[in-house]
Amino acid sequence: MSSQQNSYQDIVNFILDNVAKLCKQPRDILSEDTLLATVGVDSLNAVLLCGKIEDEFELEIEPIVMFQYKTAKDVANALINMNQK
Amino acid sequence: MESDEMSIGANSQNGFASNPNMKIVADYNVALQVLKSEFFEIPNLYNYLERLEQATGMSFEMSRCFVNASPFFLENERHKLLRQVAVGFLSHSKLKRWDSFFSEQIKDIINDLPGDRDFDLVANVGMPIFDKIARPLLGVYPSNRKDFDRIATVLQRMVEPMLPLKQRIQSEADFRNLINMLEEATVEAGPGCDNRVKGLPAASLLEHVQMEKPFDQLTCYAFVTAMYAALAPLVQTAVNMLALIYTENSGRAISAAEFDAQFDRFLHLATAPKYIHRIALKSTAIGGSHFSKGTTVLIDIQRAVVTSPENKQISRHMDFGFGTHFCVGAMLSKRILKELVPLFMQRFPALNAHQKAVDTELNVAYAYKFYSVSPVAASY
Ligand code: HEM
Repeated sequence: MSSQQNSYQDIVNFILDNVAKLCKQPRDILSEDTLLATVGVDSLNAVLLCGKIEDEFELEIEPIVMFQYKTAKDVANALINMNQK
Repeated sequence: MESDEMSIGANSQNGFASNPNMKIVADYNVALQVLKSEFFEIPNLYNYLERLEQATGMSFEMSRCFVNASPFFLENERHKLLRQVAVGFLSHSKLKRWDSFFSEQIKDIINDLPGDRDFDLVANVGMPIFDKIARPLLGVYPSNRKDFDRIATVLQRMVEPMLPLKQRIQSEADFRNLINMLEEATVEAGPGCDNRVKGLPAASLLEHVQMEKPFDQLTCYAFVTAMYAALAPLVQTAVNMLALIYTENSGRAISAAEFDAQFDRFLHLATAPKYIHRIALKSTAIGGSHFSKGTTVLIDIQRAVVTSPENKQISRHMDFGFGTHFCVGAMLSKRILKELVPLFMQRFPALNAHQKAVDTELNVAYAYKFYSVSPVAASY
């Protein structure tokens, strides 16, 4: 998948689907405004999640981004901005 | 020389501050309590790697082997054993035997610099410390020195709190490669057919651990490689210090006496490591700061200082850490800086700085990628 084709919503859904799997949380309690750190995104999960995002969207992403931008919404927006530059 | 844009101490948080699980400590007394407390430990990288293995199904066996051979990643009995070996080898009395060897090597580094054209403080002054001093001292003779140094001199990046998975996979391959290069050299180097420095004043660290046998052969290699990599802060600090002194003095050197008088200030301002990391094992309050369980504490070395009210000089600092993990290379580092920097200044009374670039990929240290200078007037 190339980054140009990804909509904001694709990225948000991908992040939340994977947060649910990695942190063993029901998917339906997660929204784009959920604070990721409060549902179990620790440094290990941040690294794993970023690995998955890189593979899926062919985007470069540093795991620290998961903490700088605290929700799936903020992470997705940041990713779109970073990769437009 | 134009002013130094590395802005040591300022604005260096790399987004850590916005992580609810990370806390930057800039107060000396709080930092001191953290480093004294049994409730704060070095981040458990070994355990993290095991969890990463479980989660990904990948093997990080060599990375774990390195962690298990590096005092700065460990606590408890294993830490004590490794630290004891390192401290024993780098003690004042042991280092004394290497004194004239160090002086010779430092002279060589400075004399090898060209007096009539540009050179790079990083490549030509800093990096040779690895080859000319660390290699013989620690006994690190790989089959391919260039390849080995390319990897080993940047292992410092491993301590980054969150290395992306791809880089973690790469460093696993790098570790394997480093060990292979040391093993190959042992096989290749039959008696009399190697190019090691001869006539050394004492056994190298590798020879020392191979004789004493506190660990198996693989751990011996990992241990000396980790110690070799641990020289990176010295190399970076040496370059930072030269850059700082010439910058402060509009491109001119200062006298040896002035350097001596101000050594502690230069050392503090030039110190490469940015943070000392700890994890809170339980929720703890220190002097009004609250650390919840699991918080990563980053002690900001540049800011966590005590300044004397009389002369405004820094009277206490964490440049080499404090307590159980106090830097084992502190004495060696001061010994080298106190000779190398004045000798450099004697040879280059004035310098023009041309191009320089801060290593922005390195989040754990203030370091230059390159710093090119040209001598204005050489004294010999
Ligand atoms: C100017 C140069 C250097 C600076 C500023 C520096 C700084 C530090 C600091 C701040 C620590 C404490 C880390 C902590 O508490 O977590 C440390 C530990 C350490 N340093 Fe250095 N270092 C320097 C040079 C060296 C050299 C040359 C060596 C090796 C020969 C070395 C080997 C170590 C080791 C092995 C530890 C871990 C000790 C332990 O955990 O018990 N350092 N260093």
